Order: sequence, then C-alpha cells, then structure tokens
Amino acid sequence: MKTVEEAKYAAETVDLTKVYRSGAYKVYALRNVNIKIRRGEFLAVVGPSGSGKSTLLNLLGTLDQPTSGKILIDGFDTSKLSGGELARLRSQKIGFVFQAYNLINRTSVLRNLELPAMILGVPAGERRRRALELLELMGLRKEAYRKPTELSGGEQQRVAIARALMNNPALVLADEPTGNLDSKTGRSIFELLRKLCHEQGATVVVVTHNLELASMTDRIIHLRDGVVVKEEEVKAG
Amino acid sequence: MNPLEIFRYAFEALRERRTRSILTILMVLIGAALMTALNGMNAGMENFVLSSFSSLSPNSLIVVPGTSSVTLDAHDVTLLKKVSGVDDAVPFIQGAAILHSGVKTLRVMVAGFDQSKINLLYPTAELEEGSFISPYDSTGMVLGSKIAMPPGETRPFAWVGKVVTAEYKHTSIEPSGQIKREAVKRSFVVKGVLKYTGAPGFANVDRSALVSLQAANSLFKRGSHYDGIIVITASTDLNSKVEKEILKLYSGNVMVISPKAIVQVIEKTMAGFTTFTVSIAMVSLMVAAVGIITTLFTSVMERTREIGLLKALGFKNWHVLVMFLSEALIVGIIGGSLGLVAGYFGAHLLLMRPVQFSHSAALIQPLFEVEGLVFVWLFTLAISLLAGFYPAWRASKLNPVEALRKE
Ligand SMILES: Nc1ncnc2c1ncn2[C@@H]1O[C@H](COP(=O)(O)OP(=O)(O)OP(=O)(O)O)[C@@H](O)[C@H]1O
Ligand SMILES: [Mg+2]
Repeated sequence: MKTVEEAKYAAETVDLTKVYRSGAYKVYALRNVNIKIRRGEFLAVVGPSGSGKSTLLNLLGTLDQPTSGKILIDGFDTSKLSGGELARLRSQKIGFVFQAYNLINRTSVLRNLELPAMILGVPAGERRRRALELLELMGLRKEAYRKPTELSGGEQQRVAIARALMNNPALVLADEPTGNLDSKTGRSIFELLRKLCHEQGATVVVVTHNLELASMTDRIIHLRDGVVVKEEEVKAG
Repeated sequence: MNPLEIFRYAFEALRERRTRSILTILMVLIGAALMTALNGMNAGMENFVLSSFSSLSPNSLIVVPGTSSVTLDAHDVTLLKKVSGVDDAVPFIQGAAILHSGVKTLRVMVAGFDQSKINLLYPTAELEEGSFISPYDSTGMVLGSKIAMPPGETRPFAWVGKVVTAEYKHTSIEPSGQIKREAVKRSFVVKGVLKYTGAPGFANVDRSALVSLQAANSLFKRGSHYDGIIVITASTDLNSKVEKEILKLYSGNVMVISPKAIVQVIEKTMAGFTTFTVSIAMVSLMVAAVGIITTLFTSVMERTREIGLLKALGFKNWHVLVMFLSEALIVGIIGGSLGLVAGYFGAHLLLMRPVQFSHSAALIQPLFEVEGLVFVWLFTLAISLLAGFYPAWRASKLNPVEALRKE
C-alpha cells in the first residue's frame, strides 16, 4: 500500500460509475469518470443541474458507495475499507464544506471548530490551539466565543471552511459553498479557498454553477449527464 | 472518539431543548418517585403490622371464649396445661381505664397477669426501675414508659412510689333489663417503670399499666373470669396440633388465635398488596418510557442534518448510537435520582400524621432499604436505556447523504 508521501494524487477516480434505480428505470448519475486531483490543486466542477456534480463529491467524500469503479484517497483504495474505517478516513483525510454551512448553532464557533479534532481524539489543549490558529487565519479570532447564528453568511461559511481544515485533510470538498451568498461574498470565499490551496497547501474541489467564480480556480471539470465532457486548465492571472 | 466527549455532546443537545427535556425528566421522576414511595410505605406498613403481632412470641396461642356462654377460669388453666405439647398457660384480664395522678389524667390499657411470665407476653419488656409485682399484690402497678413519661410532656405523669387511681366505667344489665353504669375506682402504688420497647401496636406495652391478675379482676369486675389464656407451646411446630387439641377439648366453643398464623397471613396479604401498588408505579414508568421514545424520535427527526454532518466528520454508527443512548441515560439518571429523593420525602410526608386506632395512635414510618433504592434507581436507568435504544438505533442507521440533504 502506498503511503501519504508516495501518493501522487490527493484523490483519484478510476472508471467511477454510479447508477440510481427507480423501479425498472436506471439513472446513470456518473458514467466511467476518471479524474486525478493533484495535491495543492484548486479544482472546480461545473455542469447543469442533474449532471452528477453532487454525486461525484459524495463519492469522493466516501459518504456513498459507487456502483462500479473505485476511488483512491491519498493513495488508499476506499473500496476495501469497512464502514468504521471509512469514518476514520473521513475524519483524518477529508474536510466538507456545505452550501448550508451546517454549523451546530447551540454552541460556540470555537467548539464547532474543535468538533472534527474531538472526533479524531486530539487532546483538548491541542485542538483549541489549532482552532484559534485557524480562526486567526480566517480573520475571525474575535468571533471565537460567539454563536454561529450571530455571524453573517460569509462569516459562517468561513467558520465552516476552518472546520473542514481542522484535521489537515488531504482533500477539502465544497458543494456549492457560495450558493447561499451574494456575489461579492461568494468571490471573497473563492479567494480564500484559492489562498488556502496556494499558500497553505490544501487541496480543494469545489462545485459551482457560477462560471465566473470557477475561472478563479486552477482547473475546471465540465460534467454533463454523468460524463466528463471537458477539462480546462485556467491560466494564471 | 472518547465516549465521555460523546456524553458531554449529548448533554449539550439536551440542554438546547430544555423544556422538552425537563418534561421528559419529570415523567421519569414521577415514575421513580411513585415506585420509591409505594415501596417504602408498603414496607413500613408491613413492618408496623408485623411488629404489633410479633411482640407475642411465635410459640404462643391465645385462647379466648368463643361464645358468651363460655367462661374461662382457674380450672381451664389447669386443663390447658395438661394438653400435650403445652408448656405453660397464662391467664389475663385487660381493659381500658382512666388513670389519675394528682390533677393529671391519662387513658391507658390496664392488663392483669402473672408478671413473672411477662416475657412470654412481651419478650422485649424490661424494667427501667423498681420491681415487678407478685400475683398476690392487689395494689401494685408497673407502668409502660409512655405512661410514666407521656410523649411531649416535660414532667413525668407518675413515678415509683406515687399513688395513682384507676377508674373504670362498668356497664352491666340488671335482671330487670335496665342498663346500669357505675364507676369503679381502685388505688394503686407504682412499683416499677418499664423501659421503652418501641414496639408499636394494639397491645402496646409502652402505653399499658400492668397489675396483678386479681387486681384486674377486681377493677374490671370480671368475677374471676379471664378474658383469655395464653398457651405457650413447647415449639412452634406443635402450634397447629395443640390448636386442634384445644378446639376438640372445648368442642369448638373457644377461639384459638395463633400470632404466627396471623403474621403469615399478613405477610401474604402485604406481598399481594405490594405487587399491586408497585405495578401501578411500573405503569407510570412505562408511560415515561414512551415519553423518552417520542422525545428522542422528535430529536432524531429535527437533528437529521446534524447526524449527517457528524457522520461526514467521522462519527461511526456506534458513536451516533451512544450519543442518543447517552441522552436517554442522562434523562434516566436525573429523573431517577430526583425521583428517589422525591419518593423518599414524599412517603415521609404522606405518613406524617399518626394513624388512629381504638386505644392509641401510632406513627407508621416508611421503611427504605438500600438495596430497594438501588434497585429502583437501576431499574429506572434500564427502562430509560431500553426506551432510548430504538430511536438511537434508527439514528445510527441514517444514510449520511440523505440526512445532509434534508431540509
Ligand atoms: N438518491 C437518489 N435517487 C435517485 N436518483 C438520484 C439520487 N440522487 C441523485 N439522483 C439523480 O442523479 C443525477 C445526478 O444528481 P446530482 O445531485 O449529482 O446532480 P447535481 O449535478 O448535483 O445537480 P444540482 O446542480 O441540481 O445540485 C440526477 O439525475 C438525480 O436525479
Ligand atoms: Mg448538487
């Protein structure tokens, strides 16, 4: 088995296929998708509604199992892992950012950030230090002890991004992270993600409908009817 | 992940839905309190009734006239002593009288019998001071501790050497058919005072004045007829055999009361009663269990997206299971503990007023045993966990993708 250092790609799909059945009718949400995601890459997935973008992200995040084909995360073949092992893999190597933020509103921003580290079993002092460090990076140090609901949408999404980065994941998956935000805030979120990739070495896959925002990434994958129809490198600038 | 962290997380979730959690805890509390209180009151009641009878030794039988035509006298004592298996026969006369000591009066039970045999009647009776009186002493009297020093009083009612007067209202029917009432008064000298026995009951020795048989005969105008004869058998195993013999001897014209048989009947009756009341408490705990199930189910519904998130962040299925079971357990622990305390004090509060009997009032104390309390506590916890299991299991099986998509 490959180790973290040897793995060339943060994530890789091989003939990835997902079929949904409704009665006798089959829906190919994904059909033989082969993509390789480099470490430190900022990747956008675009396509019309129903083209399979969310399906791809859920499979990459091991929240769902493919019908056929396989997924390698940091070199690990996820098809060989049990449910419990997948949970541990998610905890260690994958960070999620959702359109609806999905923060726990009953508790503080700080404790929201600590949650992934708590699940991984990081000691209290260490996870607090890491959480404060990330809040500093996000420019949210002052909001540490506030409730998420007291923050603006853009701030909440920044908290969610910080939470995704808590355990130093190999891969951050964001499904329409700017879907609930205005265009200016959406742009600042993309700038932040871009900075994280290029300055902090994070690997981010982001699904979006917005082609203008997509052009801020390193590479764009176009999906249509579950098939990759186009891959384009975005020229720096 | 550390299970303690899951427990803390569950506690935070419960605190967020405060009103609902408190109501669920209240249901559990009521169930546990009912169970504790009913258990304690039943045990106290059983203890009270049993000790009233068990003050008589188990190898005794009480022989009393079965019809008004039958009388018992010295001849019967000789007769009963001859029955095989009988060790001794002690005749007694007793009645209610008013005792005067100086300006003070007290309503008491006066019992006359041979005091050298006092421990056959009251095994725990002991002298505090003075001495018992001989069968030929017609003026001596031994006082129970609550007569010598009535509860709530600061000064004694009577003491050794004090002269007291017993007054008995005798009612008889004249040959003419007229009812005749007369007050019989006899003076006594206090010769001894008994130690406090604490045995409650109807023939409460603490509230009795003991005199010789002949003094009681004179006071209550019994004409040398005994109220009853206590037969002491050689062993409790012989009780029923001796009982049959005596009934045969008198062709069924006497009644034979066996304290041991009474105790057995009481024990049986109380056991049935306890089962009945405790099953009522169980029903209320079942209602609480249904409360836990619905509360947790609502919680699982409302927090579906949170469960999806936790799974995305690396919660394993058993983490989710433990999280919801913890919520049920916390409800059980808080409700059960508070219920135990509420039941304990509730039982004392309910039994605070003395229960009135013909001659005396008695306080029935609820009786709590540590094992019983621990059982109720653990039982409440077990029921809570059991109720929590199904919603928790359903939550643990949620598909994360679908859970996260939920509005
Ligand atoms: N659980 C499911 N059961 C059946 N069909 C499904 C299920 N999930 C997705 N699909 C189908 O798979 C296809 C891809 O869905 P997916 O959610 O990946 O699209 P998407 O690109 O994310 O769309 P959108 O931009 O609207 O979010 C769609 O045709 C959809 O109807
Ligand atoms: Mg989608």
